[in-house]
Amino acid sequence: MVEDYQVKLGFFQGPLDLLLHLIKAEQVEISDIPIARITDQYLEYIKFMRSLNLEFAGEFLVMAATLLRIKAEMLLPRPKGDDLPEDDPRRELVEMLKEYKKFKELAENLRGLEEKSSRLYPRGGVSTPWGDEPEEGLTPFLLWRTLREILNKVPKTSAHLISPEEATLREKMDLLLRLLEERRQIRFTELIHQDPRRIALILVFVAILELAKQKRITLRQETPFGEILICPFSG
Amino acid sequence: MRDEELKQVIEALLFAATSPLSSQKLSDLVGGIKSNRIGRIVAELNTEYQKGGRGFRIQEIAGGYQFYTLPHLAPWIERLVAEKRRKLSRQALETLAIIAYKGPINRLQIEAIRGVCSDGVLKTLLERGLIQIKGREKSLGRPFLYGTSKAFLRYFGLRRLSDLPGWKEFSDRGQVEAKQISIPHGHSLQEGG
Repeated sequence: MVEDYQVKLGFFQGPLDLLLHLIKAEQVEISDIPIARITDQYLEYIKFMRSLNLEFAGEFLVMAATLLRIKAEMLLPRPKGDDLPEDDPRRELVEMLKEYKKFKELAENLRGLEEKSSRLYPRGGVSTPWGDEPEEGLTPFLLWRTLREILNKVPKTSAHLISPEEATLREKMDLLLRLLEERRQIRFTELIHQDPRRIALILVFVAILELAKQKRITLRQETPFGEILICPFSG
Repeated sequence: MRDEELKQVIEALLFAATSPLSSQKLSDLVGGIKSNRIGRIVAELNTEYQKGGRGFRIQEIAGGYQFYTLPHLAPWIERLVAEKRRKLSRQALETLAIIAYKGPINRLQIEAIRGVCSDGVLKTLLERGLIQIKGREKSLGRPFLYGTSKAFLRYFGLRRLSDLPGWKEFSDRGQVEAKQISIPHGHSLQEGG
């Protein structure tokens, strides 16, 4: 997902998230933030992340500036009171934190609902392409698309790992024919799981194309974009 | 139509359908039956399933009735499913919460609450169909307004948006709240029986 590539500061979603964490750790009320202490900790955290050479979003720096401004303003004399008066420099920040905290909690509720509903399966929601009598009508394009999807899922092997790839096209073709002797049909994904190396996937794919060309296998598909099924050649 | 007959018909319709059927749709199919009667029939069916020890119930999600397997059977269904469902990221949930409770809302308003840029996460949520563009604001720049979709309700197993926990606190925003229809709770998913 795109969002996974966004730069995040540690585990924190943003400066507000970080602040809430610091406030919680200090066990103080949001409405009465000890601004000097929290600001110091906030800046320390950012410094720490910098020392690790971790990049972070600009919003974190904007908040640092805001905190420093509030800290400075707090030094000015002002009337004392229990709740935050209109001119309390923290007021705006406190409102933001309260609002953010509310939605953070609602998001946790959503996580609970997600968890609960992920255990409910609607009728017909699970496709079982290995059912009987698949339909024909598979095009090379779909086969290619399926391969591309699968290759995207396969983790790329680490760069320093150099080992001879022991797999040949002949081997894969033999394997396919052997499997077909045992069974009426093979699922494409099943072959992928057997040997998830990239080279093996490509060879399986080429082997399927080659056998289809030689009219030794038939390719079927139950539904559009459904699973590809490999069957013995049938006229 | 007598209740017994209606029960059979509704059960058969829901059994045959591959997608959820709304009470409106069911009502049209069986010739203008009131939605609360359908709710009652569904509750009766669910009671029977529970008494009979069945592994499924009829659930009302996103405004439609559909058969669902019981939650404690999930591990078995997972054997059948090729891939486990991916969970949403924390920032996706945070953004969804804001849109669900405060929507329709524009990007700047979302970012004001979260305190971070939300471009990427909005794009992802749109791609996954969990949110929709509901229109454009008439203010400067005519920004898009985002709201949740039916897929959102389905994803979180909700009948309607107002079923979200704590919804009431947000409903005095002057928004028209969905009319509360009381539905017998006998059909909620309970394990065992």
